Amino acid sequence: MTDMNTRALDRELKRGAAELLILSLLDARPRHGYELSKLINTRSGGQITFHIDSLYPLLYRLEERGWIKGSWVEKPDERRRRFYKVTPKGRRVLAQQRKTWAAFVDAVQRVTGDEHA
Amino acid sequence: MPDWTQHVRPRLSGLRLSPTREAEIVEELSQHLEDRYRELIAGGATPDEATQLAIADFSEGNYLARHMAPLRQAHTPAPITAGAPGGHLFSDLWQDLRYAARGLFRSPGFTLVSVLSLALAVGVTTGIFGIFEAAFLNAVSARNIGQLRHIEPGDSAVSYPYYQYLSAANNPAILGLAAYTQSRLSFRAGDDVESVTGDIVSPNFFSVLGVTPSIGRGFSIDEQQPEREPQVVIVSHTFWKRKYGANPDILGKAINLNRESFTVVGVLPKDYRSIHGYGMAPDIYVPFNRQLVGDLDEPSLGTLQLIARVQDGVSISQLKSSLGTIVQGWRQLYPTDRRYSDKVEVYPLTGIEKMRRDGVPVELTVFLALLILIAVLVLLIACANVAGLLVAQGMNRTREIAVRLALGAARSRLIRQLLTESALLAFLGVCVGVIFYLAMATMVANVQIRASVPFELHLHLDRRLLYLCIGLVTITTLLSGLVPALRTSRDRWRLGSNQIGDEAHQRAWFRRALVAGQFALAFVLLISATLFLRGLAKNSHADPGFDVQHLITAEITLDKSSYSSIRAEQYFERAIVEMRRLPGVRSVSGVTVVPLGLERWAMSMDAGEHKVQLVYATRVTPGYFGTMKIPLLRGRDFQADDRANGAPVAIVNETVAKTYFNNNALDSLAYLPIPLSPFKIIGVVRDSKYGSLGEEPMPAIYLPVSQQDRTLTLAVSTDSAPAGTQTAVRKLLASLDPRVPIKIQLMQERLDGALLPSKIASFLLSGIGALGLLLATIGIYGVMAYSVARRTAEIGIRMALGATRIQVLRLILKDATKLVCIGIVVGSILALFVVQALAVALPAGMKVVDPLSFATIGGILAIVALMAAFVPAWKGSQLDPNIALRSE
Repeated sequence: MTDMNTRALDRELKRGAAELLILSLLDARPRHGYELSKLINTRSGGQITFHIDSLYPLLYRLEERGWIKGSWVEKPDERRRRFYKVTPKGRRVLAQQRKTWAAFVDAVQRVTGDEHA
Repeated sequence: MPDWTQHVRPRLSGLRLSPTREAEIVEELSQHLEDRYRELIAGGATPDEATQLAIADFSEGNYLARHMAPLRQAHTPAPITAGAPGGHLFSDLWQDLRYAARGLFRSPGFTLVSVLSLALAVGVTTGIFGIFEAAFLNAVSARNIGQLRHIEPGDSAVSYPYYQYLSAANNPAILGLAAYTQSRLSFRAGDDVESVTGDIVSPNFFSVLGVTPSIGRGFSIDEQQPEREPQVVIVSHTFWKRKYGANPDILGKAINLNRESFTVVGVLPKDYRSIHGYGMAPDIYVPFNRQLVGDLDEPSLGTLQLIARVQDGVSISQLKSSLGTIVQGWRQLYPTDRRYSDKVEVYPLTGIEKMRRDGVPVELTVFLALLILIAVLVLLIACANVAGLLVAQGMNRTREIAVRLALGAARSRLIRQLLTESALLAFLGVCVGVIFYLAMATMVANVQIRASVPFELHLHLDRRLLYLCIGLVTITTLLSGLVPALRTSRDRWRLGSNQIGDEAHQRAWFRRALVAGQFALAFVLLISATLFLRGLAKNSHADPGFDVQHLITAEITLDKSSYSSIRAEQYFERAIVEMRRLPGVRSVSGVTVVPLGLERWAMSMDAGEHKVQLVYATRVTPGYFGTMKIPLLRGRDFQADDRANGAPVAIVNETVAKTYFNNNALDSLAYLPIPLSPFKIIGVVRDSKYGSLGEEPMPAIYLPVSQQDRTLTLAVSTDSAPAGTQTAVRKLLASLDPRVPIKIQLMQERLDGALLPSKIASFLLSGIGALGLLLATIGIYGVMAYSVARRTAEIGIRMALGATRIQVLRLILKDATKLVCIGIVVGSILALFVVQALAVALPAGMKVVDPLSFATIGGILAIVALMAAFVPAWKGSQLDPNIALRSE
């Protein structure tokens, strides 16, 4: 594999994984951007961090694709916040991505597992 | 708390976000930073540290913009400042269109007047073009008409054997060869016998044309044999409707033609345009048949016209040369047949060449050219109107345009925007105009003129017309939109500049010139219409030179197969004798060419030392002049034995006697080419009209009826009103031989028919003239209303300084009067030229420049214009000076 192809794979993997993470977290309930970044950071044990300048463009991209939908929610004595939820289309994409991801991880494990067998 | 927006907003500046979206993103990201900040503070950080750490969440380099850049929302088009340079052709166009549509919707009065003006003009233009196209350019229904050609081998109509010979030659250049001839047949339904026109055709006629009947089928090839039974017929849509009430069960029905039974096998499509062109619409079509065409097998008797479908890629000269060889073959077969030369003529089914060959009269061509010219004039008036209204609108929008220019709109973009508005108007106008056209087409299609051959015109909405409409949209857009667009966008950005008084006047000169121009054009149109109306009046009262009130004409056609020349002569003699016995009949005689009909017989003549280029001729029976009440001035009438006694004799009219024989015509000789032989002149009769009521006295010669004549019209003169005698005449002729086709008409009806073209011309011109006047009136109303609106402040000042209402009224009307006067003067000068050109289509000896008409039309125009101007002028004079002064 050439260096360029490795980088392309790396980028695609990251992008695919990022989309999967966001959709999975929103599948449970609607959340706002800061909450999403905190959750990812905490649950990954600090392994995965989304910076502000990559998280929001990602959210906007998913929104433009119609996978998630953001809406402003106002609560008393608080500034309004933009909450995102998964759309039915996003849910279908999520199911598909979960399958693909599981198959991918499985394949990787089988490849890497053989080395140690 | 830091102002987070300051940290977010600059990072978005490189993107083309819509302001709303940008505000949302700034808010959302600021919220994120604030959350982070609070969390850090709660974790024990100092405010400065917390601020630094929160902002550190942004990566180095503007990643936010880079990640956002591929998103759609980062490319929202700039907000609409109408006229601002956008640089996107289609989105700009869409924006212009929406803007224009909103503008038109906002001023419904302006839109309605403009669209209707254009629609009327477009309706007139397309209508006239449609008629021209239906009657002349595309007058024949056929598939792939470019392949079809008229063929005249031997430079003549051909006989049936000749046609068979050509067909059998199997010329590879020709895909199909069909023949047809026109005939008059007697159609019998119950006791009614009616003379109808029919085309007798080769069975492949419709397949060569590529026309399929709308009901039933075309003729089949086995119907080729002229003696085949049962005989079949295809009828026209009009005939089917007229005689059978459009009964769908017509197929298989028997109809009686010339006493033979024919089975109906098909009905032609409603919009079928016959091979003859010019709207001629024969009633029925039958395959060649010995009963219907006498002497069908006589090789030298040519009555058939040929059409050929020519192989693609074969040039006219190739076709001519290939036919030339075949034609020579015929001459070898029939060396004595001198009728056909070796020449082969080939020409298209429609168009100028065909019109030239058919001898379409020059008057008709001039008249049609004139109509097209008029249509263009009306269109110009309508465009001027719309241009005027647009200029007025543009001036009202001076401030709007000034603001837009100040905000950075490019001038070219503004011009485009204004042109889009006029294009939208033009488009709407043309669409409504086409609706008018379609309504007119339906109307015209239902008009059938029952002349000696029925006429109908089928107007189509075809490709040519579509091109015309596209052309009209473009022309009207440019004519009505370009000048206003250029004017309004030029130096008009002095914000809030108020123009009063003379300055406004100068700016409005263009509109005023347009209105004056409209009146000039309306004047020309109305003068032309009056001229035709005067011509019509002159014709209606013209003395044809014979008795019209008490005459019945009965056209009788005997066919050669049943009537030998002796039998035909006997038939006519008996008919005349028996008809004279009918009560109320004063006298009866026969004539071959009835005056003022569609048929003419003209030839050249040698009269003494003179060669007469064109003399109208007709054959008459003894007593004809008495029946027609044409006075015999000198000499004697024909006698029964004139024909038998060798030496041919003739009677001439006064014009011939005066012009060519110095009033000494009696016993002189006239040489006619039929065959070339001398005729002794035995009498001189008074001049009467021959071809048309409007004609100058024409040379005419009368010859005795010959034995060869099988078509003769009996002129029946009655003591009282002739209508009552018509039935008796019909019954008598039916009792003599019911299968003989007869066409009975009052002379008065023929006269009405002769007046029809002038009536149509007058009607059309009056209608178009009235339309022109209406449009010009709208124009002057518009310009005056606008002028009053512009001069409100001026009026206020004048009234504040002591002007009375009457003075204000006079001031405004003076303006209108000036415009109308200029229009009338210019119109008169133009009209002087136009009427000279029209003279060709008018009755001879008519004074074309008639001061009375000029004065009347001028008066009418002035009154109408002042009435239209009075309304806004009155409103202006009623203004309250205080309000008027505040208006600026």
